[in-house]
Amino acid sequence: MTIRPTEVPARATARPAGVFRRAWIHRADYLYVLPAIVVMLIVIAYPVYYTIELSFYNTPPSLQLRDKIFVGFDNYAIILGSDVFWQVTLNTFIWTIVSTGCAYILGLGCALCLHRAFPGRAVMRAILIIPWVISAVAAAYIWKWIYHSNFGVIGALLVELGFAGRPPNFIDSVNSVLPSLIVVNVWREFPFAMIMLAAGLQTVPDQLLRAAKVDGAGAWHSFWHVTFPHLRGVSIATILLLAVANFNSFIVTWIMTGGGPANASHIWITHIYEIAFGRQRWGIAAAYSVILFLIVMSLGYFYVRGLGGAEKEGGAS
Amino acid sequence: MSKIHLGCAVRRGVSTASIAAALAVWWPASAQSPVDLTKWSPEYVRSIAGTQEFDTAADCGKVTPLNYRGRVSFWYQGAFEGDPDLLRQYYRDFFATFRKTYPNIQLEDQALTYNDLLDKFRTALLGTAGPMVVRLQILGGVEFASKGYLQELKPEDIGYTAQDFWPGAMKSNMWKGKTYGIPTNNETMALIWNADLFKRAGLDPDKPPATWDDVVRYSKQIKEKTGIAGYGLVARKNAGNTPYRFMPQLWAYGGGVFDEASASPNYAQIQLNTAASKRALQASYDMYVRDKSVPVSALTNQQADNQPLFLAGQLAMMISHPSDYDVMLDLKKKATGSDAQTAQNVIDNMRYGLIPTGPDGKRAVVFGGSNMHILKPEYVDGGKVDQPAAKALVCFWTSPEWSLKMAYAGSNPGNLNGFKTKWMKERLENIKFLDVTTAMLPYGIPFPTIPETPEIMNIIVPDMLQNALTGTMSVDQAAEDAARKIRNVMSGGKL
Amino acid sequence: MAHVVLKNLIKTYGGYNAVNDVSLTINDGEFVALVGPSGCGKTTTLNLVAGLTSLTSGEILIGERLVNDVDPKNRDIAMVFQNYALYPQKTVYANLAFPLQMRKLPRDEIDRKVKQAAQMLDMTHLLERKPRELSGGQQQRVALGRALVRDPAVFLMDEPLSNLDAKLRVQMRSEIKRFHQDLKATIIYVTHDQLEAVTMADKLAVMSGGNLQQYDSPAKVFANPVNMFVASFIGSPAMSLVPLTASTVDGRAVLAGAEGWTLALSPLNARKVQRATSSKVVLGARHSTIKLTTSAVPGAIPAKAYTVEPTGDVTFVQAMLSGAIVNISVPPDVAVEADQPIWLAFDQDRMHLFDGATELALKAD
Repeated sequence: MTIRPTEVPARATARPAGVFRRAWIHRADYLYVLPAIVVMLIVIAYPVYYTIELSFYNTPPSLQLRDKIFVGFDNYAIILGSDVFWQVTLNTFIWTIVSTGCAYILGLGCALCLHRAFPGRAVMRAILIIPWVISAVAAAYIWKWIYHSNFGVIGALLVELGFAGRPPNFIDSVNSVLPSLIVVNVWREFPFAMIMLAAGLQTVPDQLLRAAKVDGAGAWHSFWHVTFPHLRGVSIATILLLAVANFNSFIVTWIMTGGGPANASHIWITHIYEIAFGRQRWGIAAAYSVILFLIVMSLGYFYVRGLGGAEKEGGAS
Repeated sequence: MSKIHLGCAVRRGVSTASIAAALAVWWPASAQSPVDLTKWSPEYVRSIAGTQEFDTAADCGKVTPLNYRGRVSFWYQGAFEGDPDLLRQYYRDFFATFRKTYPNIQLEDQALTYNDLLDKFRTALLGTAGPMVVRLQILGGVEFASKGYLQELKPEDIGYTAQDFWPGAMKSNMWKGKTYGIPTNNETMALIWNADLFKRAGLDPDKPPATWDDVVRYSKQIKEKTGIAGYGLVARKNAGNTPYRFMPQLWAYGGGVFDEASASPNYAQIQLNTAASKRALQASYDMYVRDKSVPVSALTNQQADNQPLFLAGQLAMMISHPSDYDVMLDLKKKATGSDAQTAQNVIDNMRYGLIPTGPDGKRAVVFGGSNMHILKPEYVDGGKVDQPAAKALVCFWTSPEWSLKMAYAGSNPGNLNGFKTKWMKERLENIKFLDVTTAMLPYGIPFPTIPETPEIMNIIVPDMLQNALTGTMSVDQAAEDAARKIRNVMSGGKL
Repeated sequence: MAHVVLKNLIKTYGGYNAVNDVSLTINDGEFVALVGPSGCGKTTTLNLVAGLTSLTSGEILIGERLVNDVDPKNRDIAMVFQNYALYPQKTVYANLAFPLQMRKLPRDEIDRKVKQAAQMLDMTHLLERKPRELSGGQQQRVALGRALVRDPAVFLMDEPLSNLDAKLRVQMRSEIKRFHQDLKATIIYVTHDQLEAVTMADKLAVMSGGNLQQYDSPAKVFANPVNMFVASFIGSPAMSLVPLTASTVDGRAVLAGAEGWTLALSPLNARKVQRATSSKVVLGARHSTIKLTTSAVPGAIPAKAYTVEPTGDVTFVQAMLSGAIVNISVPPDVAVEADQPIWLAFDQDRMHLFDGATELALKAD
């Protein structure tokens, strides 16, 4: 009688672990992530939720907040129907786009200038960073006095040198207030762009520049065909950071003009602040914030998608 | 101890009778108050000064025993930029004395600026983390009373009577017939001018403009003759200074936001777009746009920005507190070289006068001041209010002695008994221009005592000014637009 | 195509001469390799010819033109780099077209030249790709193409094959050689790999420490190295160099080793040794010229096998003589073990003799 080995039925393939099994295996990982998630829920998720909820209520000054009245989408209608909102929206877009663009270009120019060594370069670098490191509040106050319509330094110089009969009106005129504030904002921000781009410039491959030189590219063509495309990744990141900062830029406008004159320098963020804290209209301010949130998130989404595309193309190789 | 010659000018310029007559309109039943408001005049004030002694510790000891053990938290508007050093010293003295008098009460006090106090207080209340006691400027209290944050608090609760305080001040503490606070001090502003600049412009250096139309005229003349700005217009939004300077103008012309200037206002009808109100706005327009006789920077200026201009001799007139004189002295200490010389010249030529009247002779000024309130326990950080400790603090600050001392340079005691203390006598002898302050008190009009007032005064009225002055809207349109906004606000909810 | 003349080139960095008085002439259509170890100045020399680095002194002529002060783009040169240096965001077509665009040629001409170069390098199907989609070899071909479209007088290549793996390198070597033959191009080629240089170039310029050591055809450099450096650098495995002392025994010139053995010299070699500045002489012998026997033979030097390296094709045996390692190749069937005594016979006609002090090759006349 032959002894046959007992046949063990072979499993065709090992069964893949189910979701719960995998989660259990990784239970320690969840614990590590837990504190961060809790903080995010408290600091971000809950306030966002509460703001959205509040946006559907009316909060008159004669009632406590907890006695607010439900009004559905009325707050949104009020905002979208008010002329001031559209003017402030226009201001905000002008503010953000022009500030970001100018800060980027100025930063790029300075980074390029500081790229090659010359005597005193380190000193120049230090001086150029000063606007960024100065306290924003201090800078705003100083610029307010520089721009002063009667006794500002700029006005005084122009009059002394005979270029103008009277000091120019920078921040007390509805037409020139926004450009004047943009100048201050760009002055504050360009060192950031300069530093980011200077770092990027260090990584431009030397051989590529030499190849371009041999190919006959002069300074401009070298920049345009070699340096600038190489800076694409850094540029996109810098512009994104600048744009976000500018959308939310509060200090310069609030301190220098408080949004005036006649709402000419109000941007979204200062206008919301005024409605919430100056006028106690929490419901309307919440609705306003939600509208802004949606607009900025969609802009951000498309921007980051473009950024992702750039990364796939190896823009910063 | 310089001779106060302006007092004589006031006496010459304004007859006692006219003040009494004005008072009769305001406060018909002032017979029972410790001072006779019908007799109000600089001479009367001088006569009652130093006629009574008060022992604050004893008086407040009757409300809360001096050895009481407890704790009280307190927020108030501290002394900051634009305030004289003298005031800072008195604030320090107050807290030191309170702590010495009530050694077992743990006092946690916090000082905030005018603009920050409202913000922070509102936020704290939302989180039910407010202080037990708060001292708010007169504009602020009714908002919180209407929302139900404040406890009922009458003068009788702390050992005084309602007659011990200005009737107008008591009015600002009432909501739906109940009292929710005690006045600590009351003040009114006056017109300040630089006599030297008047002289250089060909105006009588000792005569202030009598009417607002005169202000416009003087401003223009000063600008044309000297090239220096005439009137220190203030039109910045979100700053408390603006309504305090525009409303007197508005009321003087016979206008108003509602009927707050009348004897018994009910705030039912909006008057910001009446012809009289538009005339007032037109006056500002004429100065800023037509004559260009005021600083272009008025749109972004606060009063604190006007002070250095005045001190440098670059501004001829402004409306402000009597304490601005002390501010000028403080600022001069920081000046150097020829600037110090200019500053001294300005200070020597600084004059105070009554606020101008409207074309019909109506004179008005904002009845300013502060009140102290006690919060309901459920809105206080910790959920409890130490009633005796809180009352002790309120009693202390609103006592004749301290309501006077804390209002030493720039204001007046809320407690009328303060006018009888020996320190009042000192004040009259030491403080320049005090006569003017006291003389303006009868013309004080409190802001509308409705919860929408902060929004109206700090945002809508300055907005109207800015719209008109920048030419974004015509004067007519700006006034109509403001009236419409107020209608929206009053109807609950709309922007 | 043109010839290139380098006259007394000097390039100084700080106090140090990276290129120290280098002169050579490259004829029209010649493939010249600048070869040497890292830091010998070969890349610097190439950059000087390209105009990417400024000359301290000397002259460079391309064609009949003195190009010292001429911009790289006007020197009629094209360069191929080690890292290919392709423009990453441009397609292959655009990469090839770029130099022509810089010269502002009309569109149709650019198109023609690009297609022509692509065809020549068998890249027509790659024209619309981007560099990152190509393999290393394809990228190098694009780099060649970009140089080709310029139709230059001289091609300058800076270690173009160093980034490729061994197998690809061999393949590309023959491609470049083919390139050279088809175009009859003048090529200056920099490499640290002597095998590459030897297999591809018409002439070798061996450099070390900024100085040109020897400039001649590979065969001559191989057969007659002018000094010890060239001798040890060219040829793989390297030539064995043994330090010996010259003396006479019984009236015959011999070389004595440290172990006490002596090697008799032929009359020609004896004459060479007489030219030495001292008694220190270095004997050089390539591995294929030494005969190894496992038993004593008259005239052979006794030694001991140190290591044995069988490679399949041939077996290398290392032995120690006079403190130096000597490399001998033997057919694979010869069995030698470490520590086994062996005898080495040197070929008098194919040995090299160098002055121990100056390191220069000794000559008979």
